[in-house]
Amino acid sequence: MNNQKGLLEVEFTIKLSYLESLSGLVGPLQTRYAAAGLLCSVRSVQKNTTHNGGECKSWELNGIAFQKFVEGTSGSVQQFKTYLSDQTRVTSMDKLEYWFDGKKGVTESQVKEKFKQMMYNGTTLTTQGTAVFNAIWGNSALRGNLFPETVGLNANDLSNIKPSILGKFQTNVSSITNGFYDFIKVK
Amino acid sequence: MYKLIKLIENIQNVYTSLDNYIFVDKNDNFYLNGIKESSYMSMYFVLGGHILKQNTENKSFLYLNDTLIKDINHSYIFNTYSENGCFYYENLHYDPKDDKVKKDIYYHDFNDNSIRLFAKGFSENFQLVLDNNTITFQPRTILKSLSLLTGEYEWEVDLSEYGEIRSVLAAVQDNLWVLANDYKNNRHSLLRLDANSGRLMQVLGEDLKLSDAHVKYIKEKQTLLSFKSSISTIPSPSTLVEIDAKTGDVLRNVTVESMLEPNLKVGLWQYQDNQLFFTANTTMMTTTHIGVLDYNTLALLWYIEVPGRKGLLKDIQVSTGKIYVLDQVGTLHIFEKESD
Repeated sequence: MNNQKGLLEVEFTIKLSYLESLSGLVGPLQTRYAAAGLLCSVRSVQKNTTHNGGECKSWELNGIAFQKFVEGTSGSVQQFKTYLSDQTRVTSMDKLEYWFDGKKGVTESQVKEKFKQMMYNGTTLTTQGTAVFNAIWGNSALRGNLFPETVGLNANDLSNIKPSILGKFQTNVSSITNGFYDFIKVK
Repeated sequence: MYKLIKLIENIQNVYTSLDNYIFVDKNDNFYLNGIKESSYMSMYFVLGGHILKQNTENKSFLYLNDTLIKDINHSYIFNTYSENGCFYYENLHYDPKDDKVKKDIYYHDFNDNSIRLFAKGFSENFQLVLDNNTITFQPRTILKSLSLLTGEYEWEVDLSEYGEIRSVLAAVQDNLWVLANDYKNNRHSLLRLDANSGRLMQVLGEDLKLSDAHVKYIKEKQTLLSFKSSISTIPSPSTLVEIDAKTGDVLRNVTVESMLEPNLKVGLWQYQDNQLFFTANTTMMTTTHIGVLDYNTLALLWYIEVPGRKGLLKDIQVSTGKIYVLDQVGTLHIFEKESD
């Protein structure tokens, strides 16, 4: 039990520290992030402590949290983009893990579908999908890992190649079986 | 030791070399030392301090300070630019069938001013250009050496045992240094290959806390440097690993003790003039501080929480006497060294 308590404290610290990084960006949503951290299961929290970009959500499939996330009106979308833009820590999608509470009745495929809907409307990238891409694009370490053809290119080459890579990203996120979504876990 | 002298908003990238700095605003305008260069659509530092500019007609101009050294009638791939020649491309496009970005690659030999079509539909990445060879990788596990003289591949080596190739860091004497990431097994390796044959000579990483992405070649020292921290709620060590790029010997594998008491955990870093300039976390996730270490003694010379930052710190660059820090919303914080 002591160990579990310790893990919860660690998770709470993750949230609080991340609030600082978001200050000035989404201020009013800070308390909700902290609350979300406390709702996570202990097992998920333990996983979070071993990864740099661990995030834990306890959302119901048809709840307001997912709905706002898909609509792109949730602060969690900004949080997702913030993680992706952190080139110090998130140097590969393997460094990012989003854990969802299976006790809320969600499956991995369902969660991936929600992320997909947030980014892709069935035909093209949504506004938030483009913003997610731009967050990755601004993180040179992650960009180079996801799109090795961008490594070493100068700003002008990057601008030239960006529409092509955006097309590639759209192809990737249009399918929940694509490896891009492997950061989503359900326990 | 350093004081904040300027804030510039809406910046997406900053580059530095010697006394110069280039920044790019969010509208893709380029500025050299703070002055907008309206005639050019890109600029980059090459050849140790020269500036290569490209105009809207895809012509390129090599400058040393204000002096035009050379002009060429095409664009360039900056990491292939050498005194002998450079690669450039045309017909850049994404091929959805192959899921690859392709381009036609040309090589301009400056010695005889010849231009040669190297490959059509080329989808590999130029990582490093040696005297007569260029090193590429594609897919992420195969490293190849392409001869600039014959246009033929001279060797290729499968490095999939070590995960995926992150980057080719340097060629030092006959050693080719490659950084590889195996995220599934949380194993990151520095591979030393024979540059002439591609033969794997040495694998470093098993007993070292290597960074997965932020390993750099320090040309002045001829060493490879990894400087990283791990995340935890308690003061966490920043580990510095230094490797002799000529021999592969591990010169240092140490915890930076001076960063423990102020609870600084290194994020991004740059080397200049026997000093290491770094961003750092004091909490688990948020990069808030910058600082300076003595490269040789690892004494902490100075650190500060960046005042007025918004979000995390996403980049740090240095030029002579100045530190440039870019925050998450695109504000560039410029610090200047105070007189001793």
